[in-house]
Amino acid sequence: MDLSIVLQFFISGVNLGCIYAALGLGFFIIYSVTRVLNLAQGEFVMLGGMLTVTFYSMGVPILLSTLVAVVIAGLLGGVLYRGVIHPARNLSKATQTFLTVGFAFAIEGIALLIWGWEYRSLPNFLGTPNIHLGGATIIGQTPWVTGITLLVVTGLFFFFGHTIQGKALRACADNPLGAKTIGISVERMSLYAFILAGTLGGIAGAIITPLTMVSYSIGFPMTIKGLLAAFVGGITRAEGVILGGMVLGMAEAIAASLIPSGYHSIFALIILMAVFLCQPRGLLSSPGKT
Amino acid sequence: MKRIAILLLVFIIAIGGTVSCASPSAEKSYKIGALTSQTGKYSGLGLQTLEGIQVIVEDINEKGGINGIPLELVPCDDKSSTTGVTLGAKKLIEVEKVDVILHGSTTALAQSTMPVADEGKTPAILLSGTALFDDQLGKWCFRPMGSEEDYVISFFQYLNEDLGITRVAALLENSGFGQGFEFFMPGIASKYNIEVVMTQHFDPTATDLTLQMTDIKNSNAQALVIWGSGPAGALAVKQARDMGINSPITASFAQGSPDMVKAFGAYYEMSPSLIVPASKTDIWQELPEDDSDKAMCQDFASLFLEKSDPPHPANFYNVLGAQMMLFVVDSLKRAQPDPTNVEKARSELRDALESTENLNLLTAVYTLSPEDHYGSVMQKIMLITFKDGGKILVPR
Amino acid sequence: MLQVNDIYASYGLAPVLQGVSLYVNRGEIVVITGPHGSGKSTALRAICGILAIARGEVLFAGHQIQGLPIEKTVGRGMAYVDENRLVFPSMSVMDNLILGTYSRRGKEKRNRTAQNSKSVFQLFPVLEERKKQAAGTLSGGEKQMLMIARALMSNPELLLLDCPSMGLAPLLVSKVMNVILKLKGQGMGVLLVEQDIPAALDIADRGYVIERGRVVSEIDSRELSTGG
Repeated sequence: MDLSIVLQFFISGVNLGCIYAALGLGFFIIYSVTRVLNLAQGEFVMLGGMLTVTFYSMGVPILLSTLVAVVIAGLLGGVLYRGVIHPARNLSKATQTFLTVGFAFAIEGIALLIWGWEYRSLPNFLGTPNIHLGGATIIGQTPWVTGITLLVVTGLFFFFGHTIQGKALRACADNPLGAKTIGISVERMSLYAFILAGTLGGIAGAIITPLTMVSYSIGFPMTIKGLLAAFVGGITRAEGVILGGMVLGMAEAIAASLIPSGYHSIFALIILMAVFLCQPRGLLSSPGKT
Repeated sequence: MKRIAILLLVFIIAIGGTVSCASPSAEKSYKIGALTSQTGKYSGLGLQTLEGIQVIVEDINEKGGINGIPLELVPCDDKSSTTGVTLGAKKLIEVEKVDVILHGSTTALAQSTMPVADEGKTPAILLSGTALFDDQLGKWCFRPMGSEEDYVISFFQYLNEDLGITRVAALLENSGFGQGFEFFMPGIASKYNIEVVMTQHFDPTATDLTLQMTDIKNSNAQALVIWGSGPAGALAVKQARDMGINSPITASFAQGSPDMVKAFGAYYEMSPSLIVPASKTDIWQELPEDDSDKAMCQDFASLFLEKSDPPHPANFYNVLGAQMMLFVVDSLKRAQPDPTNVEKARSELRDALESTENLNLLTAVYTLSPEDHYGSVMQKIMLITFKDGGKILVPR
Repeated sequence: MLQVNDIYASYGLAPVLQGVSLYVNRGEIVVITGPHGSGKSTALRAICGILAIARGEVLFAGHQIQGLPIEKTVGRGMAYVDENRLVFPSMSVMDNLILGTYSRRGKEKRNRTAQNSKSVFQLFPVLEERKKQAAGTLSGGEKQMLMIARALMSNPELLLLDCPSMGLAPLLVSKVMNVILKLKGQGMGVLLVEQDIPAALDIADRGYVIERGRVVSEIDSRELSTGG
């Protein structure tokens, strides 16, 4: 195999892996604190992209557009918790999960009304040029995607590992009653989790738009990709979700280069089956917990 | 109470009715069921097609209907899903009692219309990009859309005869749309003395095509043919240029849709600028005066500009939608069925559709027969390219 | 400092507390005991706010706290240790302890955390040895110590302990009881629910016996010191 192909394979794989990991982490945060699968997670990605495009086309600088879009996506995460999940907190987790689907439909409908069906795109952030390496090419936005994802992941690990609020979030995931008995409000932490997940989704949406384009309807496919990353890696651990994202990204790159295209979906299925047969709770399942 | 109200609201939005059809009612009218993707991933296609249908219906009604009988449009959303198509078609036939169904979405969904139309003995016109299932249309379905064969011909003819190219790489969508193109490609390539040195594929949802592009770049192809039905095809054009592939690229009409042009215009205009097929309506100003279609295309272009809301020039799918409707209008005029007897009207309309002969419409001339529901179609494919923010006819 | 007046509570439709009154003074160890299922643990849960009270009042440091959820009551200087060892298994012993200060964050500064952890490590040296270990890997006795230590991290004035000796070896039980005595010496009030009556009565100042959700008898300090 040609060297440039191998190089391109890694560039593509890492780039896709970062995107999937970023999508999966939103699920991880909400699920670990509330045990709800937020099936509206992809809608935050869509909003992050759409809002960034909207502000940017109004003349706002790209990084500021991104920031504002991300803040709005985060706030909507809070709205999802306060307006939908919190009122239904005494219902079953399955019902709450179903309610997130309702929220997703609502967001999608509103987005269609506001923006129409057209796809939109953004230029590479700050006009970053493409980098040619031998026969391979790094598209100018890729370093932004990888860099910002790394930054976000580092930030998350610092937050969860070294701040009292981050630890309190983990405590709620570990043992909600235990958390309550030391004065942690699980409801407030759930709100934070939704805001954080909305923010993460918004960031992912903004940074991938120059690569993938965005329309009102991309939310659900994004949800599916994020869910896969989360489940392949193990939704109970952040490291697992990141690994899952990377595995999926690499798998997609392999599929695109080596597997005849008619077998792409079968290939994805085989990976999933292999993971779930060997490690039913994901590649990195939580130790000592069921 | 407030919480329950919020919950209920969310549920209602969530469920939203599996199929939502608008149903105004007027007694003596021809009911046209427009089953298109209004939401979901094919909504771009579906909404544009619907817009084209609406413009013609409105125009006909303003001119007094067909022999004095108005048209009544019943739009219905198939939600970009096969279940949506089946449910929607059933509802249009059994509840709305439409005389004909126009289905406007993607190929995979068009196929789901066929069994329902057959069972309900209702004529259906399908919009679909592939000729691969033309032999399965049955008694009640029509696909007067031409074949992708004609597009392959237009590409290869141009690449070889105008540019002198003999080696081509193909990047095709992994779908019925791409399969149809691939089916016709080898035969036509050899006819035009072209060797397809590499065929790569991409999924309709793909976002990263750099790997395929690396292979293509490493091949000795002199030109690249991209055939996709959605945004991935346009991304392919962008990424080809990002990767430094500077050879001529021809792509499908979907890559020429207005939102893609808006998003990637800069890439489309990079020299050599992207080439896509279009209808004569797209570039009617550039048609020579002696072109017999010029007046028809100009009339439609100005009609569409006047009636569309917000006003915009007709694009490819607008034209296809309008054309489906014009196709039905022609048969209604000839058959003059009695709208109060739905079953009889459906059957008479079907017979009329089947006997369409030399009908000159915006993108082709149609002649159908009982054995041939896709029609021996003479397509009028124009190749256009992009310059200074607009579309121009490819200089030949 | 804690005054409980005639509280009623139920699990669903089944009444469990039917008029419980008790009090705890500063620097006093009070034990609640009674047969299995009599409602003694429930009383503790009702006082700290895990379980809602249907009737009656709970006064803590002069303020009514009934109706407040537990995450609010613990911020007022009350700490509660459940009979189930509610440690955070995936987190380190140190992180568990740090989270013990959560209800007092903002009020007390970071050096307070260091100071508090130093004093709990004096009480439970084994926790210092294991401070980097995941709490899920501790033995049952160590988990129990961690639970008490974590509660102490918030500098409580009143400690509610539910069966701290349950499932522990006799040697460990006396260790835990010693710690409780030391806390009393620091002026803390302790309300203790205990099955292991001899061990509890050894250190208690007063006691209540609860049967079928009612206080059936009150044992005062004189009886305890003489009767044993």
